[in-house]
Amino acid sequence: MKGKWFLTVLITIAAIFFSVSLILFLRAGRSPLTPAGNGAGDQAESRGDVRLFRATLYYYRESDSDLVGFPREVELPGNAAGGYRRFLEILLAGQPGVIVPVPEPVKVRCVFYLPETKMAVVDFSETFDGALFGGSQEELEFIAFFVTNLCRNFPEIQKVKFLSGGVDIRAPGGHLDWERTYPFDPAWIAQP
Amino acid sequence: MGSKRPVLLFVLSIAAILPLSAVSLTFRSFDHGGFSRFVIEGDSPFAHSVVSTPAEIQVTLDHAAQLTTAPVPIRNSQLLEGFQHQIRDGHSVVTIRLRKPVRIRKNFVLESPFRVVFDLVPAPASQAAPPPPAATPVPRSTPPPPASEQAQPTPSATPQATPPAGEPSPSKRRAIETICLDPGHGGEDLGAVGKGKLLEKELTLKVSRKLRELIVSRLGLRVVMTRDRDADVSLNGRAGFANSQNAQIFLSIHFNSSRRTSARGSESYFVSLNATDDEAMELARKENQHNGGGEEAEAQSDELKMILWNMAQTEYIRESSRLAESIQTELNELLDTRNRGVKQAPFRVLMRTAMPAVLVETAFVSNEGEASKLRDEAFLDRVAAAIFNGLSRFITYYNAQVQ
Repeated sequence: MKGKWFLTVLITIAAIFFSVSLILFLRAGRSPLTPAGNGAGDQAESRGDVRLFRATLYYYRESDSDLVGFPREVELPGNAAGGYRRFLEILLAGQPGVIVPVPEPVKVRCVFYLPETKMAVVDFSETFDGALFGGSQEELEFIAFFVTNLCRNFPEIQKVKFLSGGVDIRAPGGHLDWERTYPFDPAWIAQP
Repeated sequence: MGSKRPVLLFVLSIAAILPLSAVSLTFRSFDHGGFSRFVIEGDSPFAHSVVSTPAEIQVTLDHAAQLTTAPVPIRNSQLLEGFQHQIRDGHSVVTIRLRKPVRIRKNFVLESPFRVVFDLVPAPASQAAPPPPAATPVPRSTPPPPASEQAQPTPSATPQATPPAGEPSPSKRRAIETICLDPGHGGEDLGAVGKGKLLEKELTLKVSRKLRELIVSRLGLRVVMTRDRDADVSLNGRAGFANSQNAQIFLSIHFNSSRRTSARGSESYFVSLNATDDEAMELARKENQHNGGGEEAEAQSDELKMILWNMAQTEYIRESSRLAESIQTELNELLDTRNRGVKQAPFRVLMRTAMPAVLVETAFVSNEGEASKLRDEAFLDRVAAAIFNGLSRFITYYNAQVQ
């Protein structure tokens, strides 16, 4: 009888702990990395944890030396950081007739946004180190591809920094300085 | 069996609490070059807000933290008197007490480990510390320290008594005497690879040798090369070598490639020095280089290096642009390749050269038509001749300016 009473108290305490923890955890999870209603969210229609996002995906084509935009609706997770990453996954999947200027082993590990510098940081997995960038044009196209797509689709992003496995990238192809941050350059987009 | 259920529930409730477990904090501070740095380090990321008054700076964490070790008192700081950690309403509050009013010069966040860094400088008289940004969001990662310097160059010219490699020499306007040619890539760095194993590193060396021949025989100038064989040479090493040789022109020879096989033509680049690397990033790098000792000396050394390196090309941008124009014009005239023009980009090898510096992308090895031309020695002769003509036109202009 005494043991049963003890178990009931224990279950009650555990249930209270669980409820409080769950509430706090869910509240903490709602803290966005970016200000609410900023940038991408303005173009999105929320559907629970997934939002429908009207994006323009920029790609190279064999016939164009500059990036060309393709409007498309994509589903992104509700939170900003997850949204950026999913956006890049969709982007990297490509579409018929376009060139994705990204070497095969390159995978996006995570993307985060630093509001104080209005900068997105794209962190590639360590496989980036095995990527071959032959010419400076390949490097420029790679950088322009990521920077244009992020800056043009998420107005809160004004520049992009690249990392590999959380570590600074210096000059993977022996040309450009990848330690710096790159702002969007309108010259990268084909003029209509 | 039934008696195990409450235990299971208890374990589950504890597991649910785990994500909320407290962050452990450590603190450190030091003075350096006119500012005082205060660092709050956590074993995991935390959100926080900052409020400052003339007497103190208060950093409030979004939840309660615990201290890994007892706070070490601040000694011998010109601005920091001490600090205190308290728990108020379930939030950790770190109060940094000040000896005198300060201005927060920088407040930034780093990771691995997660750190909140304050750089404080004395406030101008009768001015209190202005309020910094309200709350700093938590990044998942940040730039870590750069890797150590790479290999040194393998110079092909006779060494002279020179300033230390890597530091820009003092510039003196005098007629051109020395030119540094930089055959791109080399050794394990193949550069671009065209069809039929057309290697950029071999093409750059061939053209550079031909160009050296032309410069020496026709202009009688001294030519140094960052490499004269198939060797690995770091980008910093190439720039450092050119600076140390007191070269007055730096010419980096490359061949291009693109995933678009139709891409073709020649381009001449001079460096773009857009101020995109903001100071916070520089400081972040320095802070990331913290290894537990000698911070002051390290920070000072880094700061000097940064200033020296990044300012090296600034003085020569206009001349670099003119040199690029001159070479590109000749390439357009002599070669049957599409003109892609003079462009600017942050080429690492150019950024740190203290002289007019240009990188020439002669043609695309990824383009079938251009690749087949590049297999022809006569075409490479024409490439070298085109670059030489542009170079000599620039030298004529430059020398006329200094006389």
